[in-house]
Amino acid sequence: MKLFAPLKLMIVDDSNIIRRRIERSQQIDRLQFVGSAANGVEALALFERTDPDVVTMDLTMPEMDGVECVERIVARKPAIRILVVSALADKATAVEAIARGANGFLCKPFTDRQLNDALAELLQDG
Amino acid sequence: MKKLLGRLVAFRGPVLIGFALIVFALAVLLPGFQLAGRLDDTTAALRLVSEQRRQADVVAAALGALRDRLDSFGYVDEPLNEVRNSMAELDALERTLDSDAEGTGRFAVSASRPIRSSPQLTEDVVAFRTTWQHLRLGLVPVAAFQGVPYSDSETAGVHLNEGGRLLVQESRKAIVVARTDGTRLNAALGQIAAALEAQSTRLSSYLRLLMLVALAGTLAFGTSLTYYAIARRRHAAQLADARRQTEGILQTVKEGLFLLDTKGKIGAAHSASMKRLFKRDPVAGLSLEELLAPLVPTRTLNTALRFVEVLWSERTKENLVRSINPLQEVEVSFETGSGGQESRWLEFDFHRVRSDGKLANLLVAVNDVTHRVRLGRELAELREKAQSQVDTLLGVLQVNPDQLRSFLADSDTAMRMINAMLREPAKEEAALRRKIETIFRQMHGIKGEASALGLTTVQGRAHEFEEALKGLREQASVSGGDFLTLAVRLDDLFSHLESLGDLVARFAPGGHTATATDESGRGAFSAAAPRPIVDQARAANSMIDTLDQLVERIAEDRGKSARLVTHGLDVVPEPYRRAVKDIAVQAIRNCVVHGIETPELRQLGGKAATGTLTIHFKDEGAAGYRLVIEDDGAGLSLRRIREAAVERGILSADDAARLDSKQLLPLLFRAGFSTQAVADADAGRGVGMSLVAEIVKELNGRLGISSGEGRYTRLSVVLPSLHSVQSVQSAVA
Repeated sequence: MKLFAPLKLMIVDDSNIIRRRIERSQQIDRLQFVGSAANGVEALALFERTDPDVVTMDLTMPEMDGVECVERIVARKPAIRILVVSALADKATAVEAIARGANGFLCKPFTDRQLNDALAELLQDG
Repeated sequence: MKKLLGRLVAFRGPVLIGFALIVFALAVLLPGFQLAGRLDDTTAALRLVSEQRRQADVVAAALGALRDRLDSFGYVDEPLNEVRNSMAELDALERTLDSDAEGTGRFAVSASRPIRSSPQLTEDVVAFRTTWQHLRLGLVPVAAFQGVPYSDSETAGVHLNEGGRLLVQESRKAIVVARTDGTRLNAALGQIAAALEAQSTRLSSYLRLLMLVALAGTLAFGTSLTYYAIARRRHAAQLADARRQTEGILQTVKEGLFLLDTKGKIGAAHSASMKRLFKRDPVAGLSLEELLAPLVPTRTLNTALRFVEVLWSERTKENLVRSINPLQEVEVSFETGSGGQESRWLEFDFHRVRSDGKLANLLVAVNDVTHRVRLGRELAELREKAQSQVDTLLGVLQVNPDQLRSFLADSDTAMRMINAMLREPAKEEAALRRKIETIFRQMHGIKGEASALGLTTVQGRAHEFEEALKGLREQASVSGGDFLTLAVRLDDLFSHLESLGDLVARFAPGGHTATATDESGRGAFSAAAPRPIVDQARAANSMIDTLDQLVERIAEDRGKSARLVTHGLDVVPEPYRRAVKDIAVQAIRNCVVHGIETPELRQLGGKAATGTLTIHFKDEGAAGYRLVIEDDGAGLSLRRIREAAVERGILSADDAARLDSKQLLPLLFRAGFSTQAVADADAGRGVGMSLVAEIVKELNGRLGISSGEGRYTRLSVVLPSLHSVQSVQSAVA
């Protein structure tokens, strides 16, 4: 990953409000928003089209849930970085998403600062 | 730099010093050894040269002695042997000095570099050899002589024989040669000796220099070894100190600290608290699974193991997964010695430990947070309690102040009445039972009105009081002592009402309410102070508001929709106001709970979703006052009334089936009759209608109920004209 090269951001969440919220609130210079998806199936299609580098991923979604979506995306692009953004109702599912290849977890609801801190941490090497 | 030195001292020092020592030894000792060898050779050569230096003179002397002996016919073997010996010595010397001589090795000095490097010495050796070879040629015939040189005969006596004459000739020649060569030979040997001496001196100084270097080197090594030893000892001391400190920390720290290795096993170095936290010893060598399995549910355990697995993956951002740690606050249960279970809360914190940039261990810190968790729960409870108090306050603030004052005054009267009844001596069972019934009705009235105003805290307390009374009522026999617990509950309700009064005094507008001059001396119930003649319309509005709220609240609680329509409540005369309100409250409750259907049912039945309750009050002059309360609900179910009457043992099944509606409906006014299976705050105790009947009876009124199944229920009350009532007041108070 080249230093300061722009990174493409894809947002996956079934809530329109959360999608817009993340898109508007993220202030990481390197991140370039390329699109958002409302469920796992849409997310995979968008992934094929836009080849994102960074993904924020909801867990409970219709059609295909986040855990499966994480697994499929990581299988296609191992270098991708995925931040799971979900409510903390079920830790087991969250842990499973990380085990399948997501890199970090951000708990809903979140503040702008928490979101940006988490994204910055996600982009750090090592 | 210091770090580097430290490392050197710790790990590479001994190796480096050993290697340097070997190189130094080779560099100093090998040349030294060689030099010493050369010096030895040179010294030996010098000694030899010095010994053989006078050999030429010895030869000359021996030849002289030989000539003399031959002249005097003496014994010649001795000088001859001397010549031969000297020859042998000089031959040996030649071999020694001759570089090409195959020979004695050790003394082959000319083969050594220092000698060859000196051309003068080579030249001297050549001169020596040439001279000696020359001299040797002269000596060989002499030395070769064997036998006796004389003959003895009678005729000639002793005379030289032929060999003797030859010997004389050869010895004379040899003397001549020896005279010149002897001088040269001596000179050559002298020069060789000088050269060897110079060489010896040179080698000695080399050797001395080498010795000095060796000494310096030894000193240097000695110093560095000493430094190394000191540094090592200091390092060891530091290590020991650090180990002691670590040990001290691990022994003292309250947290459970341990390391998980790559195989998931607990390391040997862990804090002593582990034993206390996990009630298990030893824990070293166990896996996390073995440690946790007896303590937490399988599901939690599996999630925890998966979480730890995730932490070992370099993909995972350690800081971004802390919040999903399933052991962040986990309840664990231990079996106590007596077979019971002890439950505690533990907090696990995981940290990656890297060594040379690679993940080597997971540091796990465990805390007992039982206290914190319990405190948190207590805090939450307290917060809830405080919230409910705030809710009460807000509820009070929302209530119309006039309504609230009127409620407080009414309930104060009722409470004092209950108090008086409790104190009133009664011994017989029947009197006690009557007492219970009266108190029950009073309390039910308070509850009803509190519920109408949304004063849930008062309603709750009144409900509890009712429950206690109910328990008493169901007892086979009651005694005066049973009433003691009631007094305590009553006191609680008293003080609660008092604090409500305080709130009203503080927050409600209207300064005059804050007086403390009511006749009872209970100043807090300011509304109980002698009331000014309340404006008729205002009182009516206050009553309508109360009833409206009651309808709305009960309907909402029951998932129903209802509205209240009133007519003529503004003409209710003051003495009947309380009674009308009490009757209306109870009737509304019954109507909304039992009469009005749910919106879905109503729509199915072709009715408007919202039910309507109508209250009609009319002054009919001499005939008295008529109060009609009616709903457009499901009406009364005769079937349910029959069932309930049979269930409660009021009627036999046969009687119930036989009775018609005119005979069945009055059952509704009996105390304790209810068609509801379970009582709650709004209905089911079978008190409401009996209370209505009681009130009407006390006022000498009449009561009727009628119903159209699926259409309406109507309650009609006729109260006597006030002109025919002497003292209504006494009935109300």
